[in-house]
Amino acid sequence: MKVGLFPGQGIPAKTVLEALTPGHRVLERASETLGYDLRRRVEIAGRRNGAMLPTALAQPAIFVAGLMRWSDTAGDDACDFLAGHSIGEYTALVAAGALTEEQGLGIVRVRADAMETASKRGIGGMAAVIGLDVDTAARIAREAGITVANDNAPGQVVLAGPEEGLTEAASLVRGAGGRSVLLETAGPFHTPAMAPAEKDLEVALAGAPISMPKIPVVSNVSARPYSSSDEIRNSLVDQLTAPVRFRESLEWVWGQGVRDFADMGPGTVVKGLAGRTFRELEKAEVSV
Amino acid sequence: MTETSAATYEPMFASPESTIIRERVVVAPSAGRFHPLPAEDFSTEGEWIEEGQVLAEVVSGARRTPVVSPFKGWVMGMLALPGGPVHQGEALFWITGR
Repeated sequence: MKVGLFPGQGIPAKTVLEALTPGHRVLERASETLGYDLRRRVEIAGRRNGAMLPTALAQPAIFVAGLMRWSDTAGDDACDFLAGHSIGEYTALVAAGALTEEQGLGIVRVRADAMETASKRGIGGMAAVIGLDVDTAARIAREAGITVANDNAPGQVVLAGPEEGLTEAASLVRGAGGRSVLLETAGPFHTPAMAPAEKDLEVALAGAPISMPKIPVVSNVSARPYSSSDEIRNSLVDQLTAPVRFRESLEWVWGQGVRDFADMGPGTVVKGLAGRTFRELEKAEVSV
Repeated sequence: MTETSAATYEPMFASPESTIIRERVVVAPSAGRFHPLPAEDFSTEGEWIEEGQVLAEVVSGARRTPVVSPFKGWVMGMLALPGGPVHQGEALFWITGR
């Protein structure tokens, strides 16, 4: 069995641009819906070497790039489950037929704009913690007054919150034998600082008909497949301020018999996360 | 004779301002070739480092001098090319911290 995975926002501009093949029908339709040339904007924003895209552009671009790949491969690359990391969850829901491409893009645009605005109010950031388990990272986060934003893979947790808290947590992480790397994000995503974005997203989701996914989509918030369209609506709003439970999502699909995954891109971030999670699960299975 | 009025001026000062410069630079302790530590010891830009942590070595002949950070903070950039020659006192890492 196989799970199809869609990445979140942390993809360099250059990688996103490479995935946006000029002339692709999904890209053309997206540019028409957005009212601007998506590829051209990504190209301009990515001119600085190693640049990350601003939130309001990154989210639609990564969503569209994922759908382009999905439309090219879905026919001969059948998946039993889908999951996405943060914005990738929207790509997964459109791929599974819960939302149309146009509705999905409209909602993603609202989410991206609202999160960018919220980031400007809630000053702070995110830092990856490497080499500590999620319980230790969560304890450190509590001590430093910040929160766990992503439980990505065994030994990779992302903390988010105000700058002072991140700094304090970084010293505690070092003391516990781990390492912290500051991430280039606009703000503390998946924390209460994103609450101001909820209203706009709620309105956007309320206006879109949502169907049950044709392929089960594993939720970031519950780490279980969605069971109703209302749950999708509520969970997508909760996801703004709740941790992304990506490791647990992958553990759940493993429990269903999934042993293969496809990173739908752009980039190879989720491939790395899934590879690490599956290797740990395999080891645990062998040692039992 | 012109009469001059002695105007009285009260000295006025703008309220003092101060700024905390959070940016720091770790410099080369000696001249030689700059070798950052391998990724398993010190990864890259963005990583948090503690005061006294070794970030790199400067190699000159048989002598290897560790580059020790006198500050704690986030490494925002490596300012010298790995394997390249550096002078004593040359900026090697840009650190930002509180």
